[in-house]
Amino acid sequence: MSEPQAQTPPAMTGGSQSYWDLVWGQFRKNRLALVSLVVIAVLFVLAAWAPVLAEGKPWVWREDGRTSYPLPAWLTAPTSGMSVDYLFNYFFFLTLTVPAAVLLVRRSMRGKEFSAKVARKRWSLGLLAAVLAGVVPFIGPGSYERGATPAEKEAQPELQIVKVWHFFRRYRLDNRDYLGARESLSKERGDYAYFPLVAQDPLGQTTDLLQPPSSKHFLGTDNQGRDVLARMLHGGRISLSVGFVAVGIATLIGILIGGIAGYYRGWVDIAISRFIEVVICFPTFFLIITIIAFIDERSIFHVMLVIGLTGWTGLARLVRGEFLKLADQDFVHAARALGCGGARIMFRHILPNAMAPVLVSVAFAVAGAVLTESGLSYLGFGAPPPTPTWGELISQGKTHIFEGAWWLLYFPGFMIFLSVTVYNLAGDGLRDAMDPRMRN
Amino acid sequence: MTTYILKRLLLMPLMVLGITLVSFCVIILAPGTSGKGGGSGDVRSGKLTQQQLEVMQRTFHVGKPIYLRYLYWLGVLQPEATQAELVEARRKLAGVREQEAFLEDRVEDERRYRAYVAHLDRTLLGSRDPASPATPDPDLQKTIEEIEVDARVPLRGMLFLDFGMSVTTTSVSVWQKIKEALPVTLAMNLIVVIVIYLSSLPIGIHSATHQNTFSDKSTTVLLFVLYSLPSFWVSILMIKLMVSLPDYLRLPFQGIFPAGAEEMATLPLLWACTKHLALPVAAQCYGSLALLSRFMRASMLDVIRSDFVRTARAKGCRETTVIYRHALRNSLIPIVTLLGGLLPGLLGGSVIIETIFGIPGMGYLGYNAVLTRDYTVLMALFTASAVLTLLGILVSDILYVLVDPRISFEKGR
Repeated sequence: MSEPQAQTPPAMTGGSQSYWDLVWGQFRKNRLALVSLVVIAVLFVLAAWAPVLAEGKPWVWREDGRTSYPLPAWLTAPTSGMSVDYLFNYFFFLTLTVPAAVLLVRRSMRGKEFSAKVARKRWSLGLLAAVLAGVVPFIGPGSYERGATPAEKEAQPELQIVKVWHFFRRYRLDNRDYLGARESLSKERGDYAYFPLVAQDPLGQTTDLLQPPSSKHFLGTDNQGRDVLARMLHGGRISLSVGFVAVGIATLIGILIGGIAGYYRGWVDIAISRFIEVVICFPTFFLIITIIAFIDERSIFHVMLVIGLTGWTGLARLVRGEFLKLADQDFVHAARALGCGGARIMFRHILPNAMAPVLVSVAFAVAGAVLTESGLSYLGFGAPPPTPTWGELISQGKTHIFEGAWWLLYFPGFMIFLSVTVYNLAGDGLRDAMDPRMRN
Repeated sequence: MTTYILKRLLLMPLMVLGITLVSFCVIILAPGTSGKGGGSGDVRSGKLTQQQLEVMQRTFHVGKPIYLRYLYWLGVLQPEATQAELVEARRKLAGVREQEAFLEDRVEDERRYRAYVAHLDRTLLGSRDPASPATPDPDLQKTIEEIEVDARVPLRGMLFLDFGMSVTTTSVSVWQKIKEALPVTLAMNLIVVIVIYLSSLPIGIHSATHQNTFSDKSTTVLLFVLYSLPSFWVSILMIKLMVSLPDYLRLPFQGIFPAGAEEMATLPLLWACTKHLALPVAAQCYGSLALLSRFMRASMLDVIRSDFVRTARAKGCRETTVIYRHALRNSLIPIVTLLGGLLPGLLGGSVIIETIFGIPGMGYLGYNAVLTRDYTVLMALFTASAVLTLLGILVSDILYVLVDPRISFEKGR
């Protein structure tokens, strides 16, 4: 934070601590908040590792003397109906490259003395390299065209061809039922296959309908015979990404609109405030359902967009209030005297100082967005059908409530509850950490 | 004070206009629907019939410029054709009513005649043959329906509270539907708000006065858990619990009225309705209850630490007097404003809870309208619930000023 820190309370521990160092120090003392932060990280890692932990495709598949690598191929060119897979597969590679980078940087600095500046440069270089290295697996000549061949389409009319803008490596849509074909592998010919830990396809339908948890399906199966554990792991991807992307959109809109209202005041403020009040009056969930129902071919991104577009009002009000408070302070006058333009003052000078309360309400908003998404999926307005989501599993549990399909109710419901709770706890911890009255 | 209320009241019409504009835009500009294609996509996907589409297109003047359609929908302007049509339709409708009465008379006459014949049969001939139940002449019935569809009065305009006819259910006006759904939602939410306030205040006060004791810490944790539980999940779990309970402990979880409600006496009916409402109200309250209790605790703690409470203690007031006479009143102020924040969720009806428990309120109506693409109902629902919420927020803001004389909005910020 190189910006003027007008809001920074005088450092109490001596030396120069930035505002965020203070907040972090305070946050660390809150054990519950720290645990919730760890749980959030674990949820992310689980979502990133979902295909590695539970997928119906083998790592290595050898048949008739030919070797293929279906899972690695899928990791670099996901072809299932879920479009957030690109993002989370990238996160998967990041979970490999980032620890490697950390290790390497640590090693390169071991036993030597560096100035803080050099050390920081090394760290940022290492992390940048890790972030870039995560992209590498996606780049390369495509070995096959994506999509089904006409013959395949003939044989399997329901075979979905995913239309994604492709820049990265392209593979042919690989819908082979490896789990079924596994039986026909013969040891004599030297066939073998290495499957992930939970060798179950989140999208593959089997004949084991509504099976309770067993050693084959750890958390049972749903009404189309799909493994619940695999679906829950992959469903975490939807839940997490919706929470963050939707709130990201809402935050951007909120900061922009609230910032303009708070900075320019006068008529602009009155008009924007009235507009916000108008939008607040609409029942949000109902609005979201309506808009989503009107989208003809909806995808999960539409859901994110709509949740974001309807959820910015609270943030805009908050940002407006902060901007009103800050716009009269000396550092803003100083910036104006230096000849800074409106946009520069708003986003480079005022915004960093208004970020603290915004972050708190973002944490709560993420929890709210996760709740909204699960409610939408429950009603059937979430991600389109084959996509696994937690809410959709619960809605199946509701349909089969009289058959006592408790595993469809309890496990996904607990996951929603857990993720909402950790976001709320993290938000709570952040708020307490930023409250100067709590500091001692 | 008066100027503040006056200012707010003067702004109201503008805000209502804003609300109508937003709801119009949401429905009309929605991709792939009544916008560009004029809703033909809905016919192709089988969501609307050709006839319903025509009704919809006529109601919203598909094909005219957007701003004209908005003004027509509002009722500020009226297309010339419509004006003539309106007069014509009025005339026609009067005729239809007459004709309808006549036809209905005939149906009724026929029924009576048949009943009489059956009666004669039974008494005179001693025949046990059950007389054919008086089925109204199908031809007659059809004529009545046809006339009704034909004479649908074109939209007079939303400002005249005429939202037109429901697109999917012929011969039912949107206003009629809302009039049926609104009292249900209002009644339920009134109960919800009362329950929330009645239980969260004592919880918050207790937590604050017993700060950092075991009971405070455990309620805080419990409330936090409650706040994070998804309400639809809790509703389903409650239903699951009810299913597994023995009969005499089971609470009903479908609808709000017991079977055969018409024949029941007032008190048993009231009791039965209470039982029906118990689960949905519980499902709808607990989240806000948890939030409000936390706010109450925080606000009470703030007040207890303040100087005037210390003064009250110092002059020898008893603890109960300090808490309930001095602290409570002041800690209530921020809680009153929260009502305004609760309103948007409440008045629109909770879609999920109403669908799970089968409550015929605004949320359920809206959910069904979304599924069947009932555009007129949707627009009316948006406008109505938003305007009601606006009124509610206005009332709660005025309440805020009344409760706390220190607050004035006149000096600007």
